[in-house]
Amino acid sequence: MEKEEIKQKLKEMLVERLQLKISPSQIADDKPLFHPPEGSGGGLDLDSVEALELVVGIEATFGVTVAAGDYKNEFYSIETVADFVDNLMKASL
Amino acid sequence: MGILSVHSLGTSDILARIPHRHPMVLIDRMEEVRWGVSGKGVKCVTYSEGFFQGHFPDEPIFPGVLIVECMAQTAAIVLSDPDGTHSGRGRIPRYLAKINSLKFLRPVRPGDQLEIEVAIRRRLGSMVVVGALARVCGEEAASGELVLAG
Repeated sequence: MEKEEIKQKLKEMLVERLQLKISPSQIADDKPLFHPPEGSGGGLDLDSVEALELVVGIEATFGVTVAAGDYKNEFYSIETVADFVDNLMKASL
Repeated sequence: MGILSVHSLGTSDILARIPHRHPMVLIDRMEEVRWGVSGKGVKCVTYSEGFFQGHFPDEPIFPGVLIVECMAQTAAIVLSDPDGTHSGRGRIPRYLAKINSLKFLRPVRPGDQLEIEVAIRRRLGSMVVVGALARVCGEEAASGELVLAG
């Protein structure tokens, strides 16, 4: 799966599972998904419970398994989550 | 350590594993505990419990939110340290983070014995997803999924 396709599927999955009041195209690739650092702005401002929903959504959408762990860096933005998913899919081949 | 399961736990064993105290210790007995995996909590409902004075004066019903609390406490015991040592308490999730699709199928009344089966479905960081099913006399009273946080 191409990375652009992964990113698009991620955005659609987030909007659907988290019932976001925006369209997938309004989610930027490089903005923080979770509580953004002071002054950076523009993120989705997701919370820790929604992080769990993201993990469950990744598994359901891409057919991969996300092991227990701390994914603060991997879950920074759509771009980094897409890399994370891409690596998981390649590892499961 | 190294104990994988235990047949039954009584009040003193439960108090050694969870931080709750009177009047919030709801589980009377634990059965079929597989540490970190699954277990069954037993709650004997009796009219002398204080909340029945007001819930409700003309029809005593065990509050649904307390069924949720029974599920959370059963899960906390399953997640506790098998040794029941004080040092193990830090691992128990103390907070309710989310309630997923919980349904209540029959009222629970004084005299009922609630049997609450829980299964740990997944963990992520400090979050634990718990599947729970509460029965009275084999009949489903409530079921659903909770997310607990440490």
